[in-house]
Amino acid sequence: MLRIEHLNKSFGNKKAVEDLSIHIRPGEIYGFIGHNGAGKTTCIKACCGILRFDSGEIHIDGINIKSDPIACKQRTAYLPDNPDLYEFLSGIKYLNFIADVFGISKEDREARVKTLAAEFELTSDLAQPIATYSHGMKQKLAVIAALMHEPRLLVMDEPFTGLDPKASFLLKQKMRAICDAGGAVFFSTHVLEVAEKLCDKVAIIRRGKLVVEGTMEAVKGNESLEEVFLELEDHHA
Amino acid sequence: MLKALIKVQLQSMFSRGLLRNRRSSKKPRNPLLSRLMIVLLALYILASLGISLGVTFHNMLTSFQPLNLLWMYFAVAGIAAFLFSVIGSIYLAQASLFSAQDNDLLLSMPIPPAKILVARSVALYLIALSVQAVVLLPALTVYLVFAGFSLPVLIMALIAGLLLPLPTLALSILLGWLLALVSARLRRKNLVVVLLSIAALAAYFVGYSRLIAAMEELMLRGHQIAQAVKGAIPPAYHYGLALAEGKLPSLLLFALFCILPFALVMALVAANYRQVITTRRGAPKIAYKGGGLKASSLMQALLTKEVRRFFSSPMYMLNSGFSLLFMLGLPIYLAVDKNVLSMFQQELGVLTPYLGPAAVGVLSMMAGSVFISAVSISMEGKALWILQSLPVKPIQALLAKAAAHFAISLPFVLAAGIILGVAFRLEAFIFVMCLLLPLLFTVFSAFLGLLLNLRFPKLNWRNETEPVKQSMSPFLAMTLGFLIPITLTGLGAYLTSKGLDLKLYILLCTAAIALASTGMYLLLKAKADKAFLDLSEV
Repeated sequence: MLRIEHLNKSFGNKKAVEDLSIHIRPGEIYGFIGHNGAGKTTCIKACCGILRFDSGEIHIDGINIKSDPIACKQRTAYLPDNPDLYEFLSGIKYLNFIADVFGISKEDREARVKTLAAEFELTSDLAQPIATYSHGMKQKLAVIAALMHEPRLLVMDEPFTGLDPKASFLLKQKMRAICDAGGAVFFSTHVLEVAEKLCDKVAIIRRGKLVVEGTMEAVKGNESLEEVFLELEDHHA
Repeated sequence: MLKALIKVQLQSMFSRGLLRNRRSSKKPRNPLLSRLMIVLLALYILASLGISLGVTFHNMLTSFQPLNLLWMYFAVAGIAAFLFSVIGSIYLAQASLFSAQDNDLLLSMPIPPAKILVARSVALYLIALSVQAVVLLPALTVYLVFAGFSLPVLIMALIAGLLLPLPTLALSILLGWLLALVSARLRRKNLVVVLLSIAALAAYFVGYSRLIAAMEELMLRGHQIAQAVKGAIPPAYHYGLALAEGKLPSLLLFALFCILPFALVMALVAANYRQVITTRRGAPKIAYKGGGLKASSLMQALLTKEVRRFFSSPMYMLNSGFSLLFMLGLPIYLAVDKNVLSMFQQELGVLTPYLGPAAVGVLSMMAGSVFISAVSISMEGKALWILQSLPVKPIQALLAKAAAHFAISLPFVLAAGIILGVAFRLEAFIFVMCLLLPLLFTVFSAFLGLLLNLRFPKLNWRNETEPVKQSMSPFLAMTLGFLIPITLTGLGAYLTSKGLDLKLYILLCTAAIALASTGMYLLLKAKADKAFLDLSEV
């Protein structure tokens, strides 16, 4: 579903991502772990076609993101770490805009808005301007917008920040549902307990380089993910 | 603490949007050349303004000197500088003092609200100072050159010049504060701000036009009017007296006139600054009842989003679309007030046939100086990721911005052209050109603005003032959109006086602008993919 091969990205003289290769298969929830500034967001943005990269290849559903970014983006949904949305629109107008961009029919968009907004308990606030939303409400709206077009690949940067426990639980269910339907989820997190419980596979990145990657069982063995992460940090310090 | 706050304010004013990003993986191709071009352009603009103001001040000086009214010369210059700086400061004060995005962050820190207010006011002070310098420096230079160099005059002018922004600040902070107080309690906040601002602008221009009439009177009845100014505007009198005659008591009185209202306004605003900037009463909640969603095409959705963005922000609307108000206001005024029109025709005499082409030039200049698109990329701010991550081609996103610029301008351009055409009874060819050329300039400025905004984006803003008023791309777009039609009009006047057919010249200009617009569209199309993604690294 998502194949990253020998990805390199620098900002000036600083290498943000160095020779990174990851392969995420359909049905997998893939966790991306690393300290602050390790290169997670850079890698995620490159996968979503937001950031150009220096070398390497990224394929989504077999399509090269450089040669056909629009087809890749049609299959993908991206959720950033900070939900900066169009504050001048109301929640419903924002969702309608997203539906227009993805060419979702009137009937489908109305049904999906109804279901998702009810699940995330945002229905009564949809007519309000986004500028009046709290951080958590914006995050919920961004999640709903990401799920509107039923993406094959869901890419998220720290998705649980700001979500209340119920919304977090619901999002985890949605992530699993995407995988069950043959899609995949790639997300970064600092909450190692969540990653440990939720992910099928995990990659740990340090200073732009992949340190370890594999199934959750293979990476952590008998230890907790937190212990493995801290050991690796000490080892590579 | 205050020093650090002021430093942050100044950094945000001068660092972003003027310089290219630091994080970018690519180096600018020729930074020295582009900076040199910017400096040259800025010098050209300042020189043009300086020369035109210098000529006006020279005429004034030669009128006042024989009447022994040199204080009046400085008083008029001071009043003009004050009025010139007030116009933009109101929106600036409202946006940067009361609507800044980092207000909550600063309030959460151990900083007294009054210090936040003072730090933000320093940035406003510097802007008012530089705007006033544009008027005062030519006035001072003309005086020192033609009335004779005088060190006391120079020193007094510098001291008084540093004081003069204070009344501007007092007025703009007071009006901005009132605007913030009123708008915090209203539902249709943006509409109210726009209407209040337009009313303030209208009042300003009525006042300004009366001032011009008063200036003409001044030349005829100097002493009488000087007496009136002396009685009615004591700060202007003492400002003039301090500069022209070097009177220290007058300077002290002028300082008092500047400092006292400023201190009072600051004390008044500081007393409830925290309350004003944290008030979020707004409208009662509207409950969503479901349904009612309308499907649109991609381009329609993008265009609607851009138009909504424009109409959601009074700061964006009133600044970037400022010329549109003039464009509609001026022809309506001319059409309604028949006396002005007949006066025009009488004054022009044999030049009456050039009234139509001049109208084409003026409308083109107004259409060209609209800079909606030049801010549209910067206005995406931190929400830029949305367009970048959606399945939208960069050129589609950019064309939607150009289309919004065009769609918003179109009714104004057409209405202005039709009203002027009918009022001036223009012949068919000129009438058509009165519509066509300003429309072409609208397309031209839409593409030019986008190219400039791609080159000088300002995305990490804290309030809308930064991308709209403290950024290179709107400045360049407005200036070029203004100067190109003026230059073409001037060149036309020269070439037609040398025998070139006027209609042929207008057609050549039309072709040139159409060609330039096509060139910019092709450039945009070629550069869109890379340039749009490069914005992520800003």
